[in-house]
Amino acid sequence: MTKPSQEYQPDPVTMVSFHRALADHADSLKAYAARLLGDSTAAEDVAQDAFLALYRHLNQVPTAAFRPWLFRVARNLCLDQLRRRKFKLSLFRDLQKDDDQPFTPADIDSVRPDQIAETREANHAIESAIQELPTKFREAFLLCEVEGMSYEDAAAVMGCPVKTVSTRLFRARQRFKSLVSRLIKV
Amino acid sequence: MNCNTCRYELSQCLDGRLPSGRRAVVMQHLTTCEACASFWSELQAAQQLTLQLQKERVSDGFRDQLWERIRAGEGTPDAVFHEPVPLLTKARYALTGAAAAAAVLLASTWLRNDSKTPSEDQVAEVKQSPEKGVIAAQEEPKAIGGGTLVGGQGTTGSRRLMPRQDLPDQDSMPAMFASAQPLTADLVAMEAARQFEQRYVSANRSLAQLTTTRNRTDNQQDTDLIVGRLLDGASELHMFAEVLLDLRDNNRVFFPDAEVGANLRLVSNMLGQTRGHHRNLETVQSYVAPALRQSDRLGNIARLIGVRPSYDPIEERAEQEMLQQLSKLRPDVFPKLFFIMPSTTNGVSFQMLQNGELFAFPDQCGTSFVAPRSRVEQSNQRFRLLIDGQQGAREVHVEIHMDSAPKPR
Repeated sequence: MTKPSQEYQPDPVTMVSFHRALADHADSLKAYAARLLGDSTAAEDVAQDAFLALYRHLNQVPTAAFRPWLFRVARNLCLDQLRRRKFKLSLFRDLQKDDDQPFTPADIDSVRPDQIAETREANHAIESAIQELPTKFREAFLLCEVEGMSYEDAAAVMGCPVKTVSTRLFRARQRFKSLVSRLIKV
Repeated sequence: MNCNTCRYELSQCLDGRLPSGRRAVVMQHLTTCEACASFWSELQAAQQLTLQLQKERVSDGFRDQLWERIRAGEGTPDAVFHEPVPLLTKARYALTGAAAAAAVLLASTWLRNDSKTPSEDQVAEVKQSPEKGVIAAQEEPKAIGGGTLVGGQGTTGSRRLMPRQDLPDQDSMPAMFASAQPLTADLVAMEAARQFEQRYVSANRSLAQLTTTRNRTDNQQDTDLIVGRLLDGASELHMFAEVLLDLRDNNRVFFPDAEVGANLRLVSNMLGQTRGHHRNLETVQSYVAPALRQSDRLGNIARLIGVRPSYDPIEERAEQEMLQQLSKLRPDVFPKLFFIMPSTTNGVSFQMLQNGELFAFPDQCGTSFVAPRSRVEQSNQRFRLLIDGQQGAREVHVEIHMDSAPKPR
C-alpha cells in the first residue's frame, strides 16, 4: 500500500463529480467485481479500493473517464486477487454463496411461492452460467452485456483493441446462450 | 453470406454497432437461413435473461468506511495499477520472440552466403550520392552500414558485424572500439528514460499546439499533421516505457516512489491503446491526451528511477542474456535507443565519438558496437566517415538531424 505523498484537497467542483460517481457507479462496480471474483464481500472491498484510488488521483483523471477508470482499477484488483487465490482450494464455496444471498421477503399477496422459487432458480442458473465463462470472455460479457458499456470503454478497461472486445463478447454470448438454453423460451 | 460471419455480425447488431446497410444484408440472410434465424432469436432471449439479474448493492456502511479510509490518509493499493500478466502469456511472448529470432538467424545465414562483401556494398551506396555525401538522420543506419541491432542485423552481407572475439587483429582496431565497454542494463535503462523524457516533453508541446491550432483555425491539414506527430510520439513513448517496466521486472530498475512506477504503467497502457485505433483526433483525445495529463513527473523520469549497480563481471553472462532477450522481445526499440556502428574492418572511423561513448553488445551474430543516441546528440551531430573501398579511400560526411520531425508514416 503506497502512502499519498501529500494531503490532496480536491476542489469543490471535482468533489461534486466524485460524489456523483460514488452514487452512480458504486453498485455496478461492486456487481462487476462480485461476478468476476464470485465473492460478494471481497467485491465490496474492491469497489472501495477503486474509489479510494480515484480520490487519490482526482487531479489526474478527467471527469468523463471516471467510469472506465474505476472499472479498470477494479479489474486489476480482481485479477490480482484471482491470481493469488488460483492455487488455493476454495472450500465451502457453495455454502458461502448461499450465505451471501440476503433473505428478501416476498410480497405474498402478489407472487406465488412456486414463482418465487422459479425466479430464484433462474437467477442462480444465470449467475452460474456467467461464472462458468472463461475470465476473458466473462470480462467482456459483464462490461458490455450486463453493464451496458460501449465497446470503446470496455476496450480501455480490458486493455485490448475494440475488435478484440467484439470477438470476446461474441464468444461469451455463444457460450452463455448454450449454458442457459433451458431457460430460453423462444 | 457465411453463417459464421452472420452470427458474429448478429452479436454486433444486438449492440447497435452494425451499419444499416450491413444490417439489411444480415437480416436478408435470416430470411433464408433457419439456423441463423433461430440463433438470432436465442441471442435476443439470452440478452433478456441478463436483465433479470439481481442488482448488487453496496452495504450501508460503504460510504462511511470509504471516508474513514480517506481521512486516515490511506494510500492507493499497490495492485491498482499493476496489470497481472499470466505466466503462460509471458512464456508465449518469449517463445514467439525466440521463434522469430531463429527464423531471422536462419534467413541471415542463408543470405550471407550469397551476398556481396561489405566494402563493395558500402562503396555502391556512396556512389549513389557522391556529390552530396549528406545523409539524413532516418537514412543514417543504412548509410553507415550499421544495420539494426536485432532482426535487421545480418540480413544482408553489408550489415554483418564482426564478432568481437573473432577479430583477427585487436591492434588494428581504433582505440575507441577496443576500449568499448560492454553494454549493461543500467545504460539501457538510462537511455530509455532520457528518450522517454524527450518524447514526453515534445508530445506535451504538440498537444498544446493542437489545442491552439484548433481554437485558432479549422485548418484540417495542420490538425492532421499534429495528430500524426502525437500518435507517432505516443507509440515511441509506449515502447520506451515498456523497456523500463521490463527492466523493472528483471530487477534492474526500481522506482523509489512506487507511484511513479504505477503511473508509468498506466500511461504506457493508455498509450498502447492507440495502436488498435484509427489515427485520428478522437484517438488522441481519448488516449494520448489523458495519458500525457496523467502525471507531470514523468517528464523527469530519468531522475525518478533507480538502477542496480552498473556491472558485475560475475553476472556478465546473465546480464547479456537478459539484454539479448529484451532486444529480441522488443526489436523496434533498440535502434531507437542506440546507433549501431559498422564493423571496424570497413575502415570507418568516427571522429566525434569519444572513448567511453561506445559500448559493445554481443549477440548471436557477433558483437555490435553501439552508441547511446542521447550522447551522440550532445556531440557535434556530425560524423566523418572514411570508407576504404576497392577503388581507394573515400571521405563521406554524415549529418544526423536530431531536431527534425519524425517522418510521417
